[in-house]
Amino acid sequence: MSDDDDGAWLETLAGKRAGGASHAEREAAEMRRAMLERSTNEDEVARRVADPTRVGRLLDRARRAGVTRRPSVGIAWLKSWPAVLAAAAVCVVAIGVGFQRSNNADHGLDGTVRSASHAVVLTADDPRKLRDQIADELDAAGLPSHLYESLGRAGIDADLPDPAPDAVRAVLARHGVPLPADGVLRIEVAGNTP
Amino acid sequence: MDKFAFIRACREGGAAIEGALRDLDRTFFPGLYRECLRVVRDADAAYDVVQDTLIKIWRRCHTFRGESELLPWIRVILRRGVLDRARRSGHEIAVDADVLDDLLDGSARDVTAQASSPPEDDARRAEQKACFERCWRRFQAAAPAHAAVLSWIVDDGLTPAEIARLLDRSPGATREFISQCRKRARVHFAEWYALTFSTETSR
Repeated sequence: MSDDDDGAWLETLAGKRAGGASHAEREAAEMRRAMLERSTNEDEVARRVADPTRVGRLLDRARRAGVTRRPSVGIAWLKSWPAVLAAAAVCVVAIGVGFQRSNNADHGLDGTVRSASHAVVLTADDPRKLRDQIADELDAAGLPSHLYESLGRAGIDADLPDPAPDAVRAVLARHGVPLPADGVLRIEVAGNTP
Repeated sequence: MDKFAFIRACREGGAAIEGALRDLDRTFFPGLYRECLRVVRDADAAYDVVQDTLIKIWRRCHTFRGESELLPWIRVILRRGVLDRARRSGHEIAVDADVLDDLLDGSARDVTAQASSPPEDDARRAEQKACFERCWRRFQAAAPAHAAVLSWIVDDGLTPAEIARLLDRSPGATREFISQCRKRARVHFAEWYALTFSTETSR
């Protein structure tokens, strides 16, 4: 099967090309027709839609996951312009202070950087992608987190249980993030500067 | 729920999210569950993926810029959730392309080269439909991620670029994935292909 053959198959399957004479097109056209004829189990859909406990279960789950607990730090900051200006002022001061300190003081022993907000700062070509990946890994390890955007950085905010589960420690170690002493995990991913 | 209400709830957080979650569930649950049920074999698993999606979107709500409508954005998160689940379940059996080629014996590979599909009657159509459903279940069990992507291609006409974004793969790796979709389908749908493309005389 060549790339062209697969391309014709894909386009026909997607309904963008009428089933032509080639094997790939005929194969895809028949499969598309059969797939469109497949019926959904509407009884099952109706049963779940009518389930009076569904929303309650969803809300319980959301509370357990911590998504309804409190607004994330990044968004709380962005609620008002004065807060944004204050944040910008803090940054200017932080940058000024940062210039006066040696690089070694800003870098942890493990090579990560802590920002003025005590977030561990990582860098990546695609900050959101890395942030989402870490959040998904933490989620899979049983630690819900909040995502936020703050001052051009993609952030994660989570409360660590004490002791932190091994699976969570493994995720943090994999990304070179030290375990926070105060149980408040905050990671920010900045873009790589050219 | 419209996207502006969603963005407002995201900014306010806390209790506002509870109200918004109810709205989101009321607005989107039926469609999301129906879509998920088509690609996830188990009804409980499909339900779990949808609820997980409705929670996950609040963790990511700050990344929603309102450039698109809410539903397409939610569907991408749902689909990535389906694919993550398929990968985590370990059901996806890694099969080397050469092995797939070997599995495709000559008759399966060239089955469409036979004469055009025979005329259909109701009984034959019902037989084909039942056969397709059997094959689809086998395909879904053996290759859930491939089955899901195939289903979305048919439903939404996904382009290779859209598939690449969904899978988070390079264009080359996506082409390979699409090729594998086709090969795997041919293996699992061999019975249906034989039925569909067989001629009157060969039956």
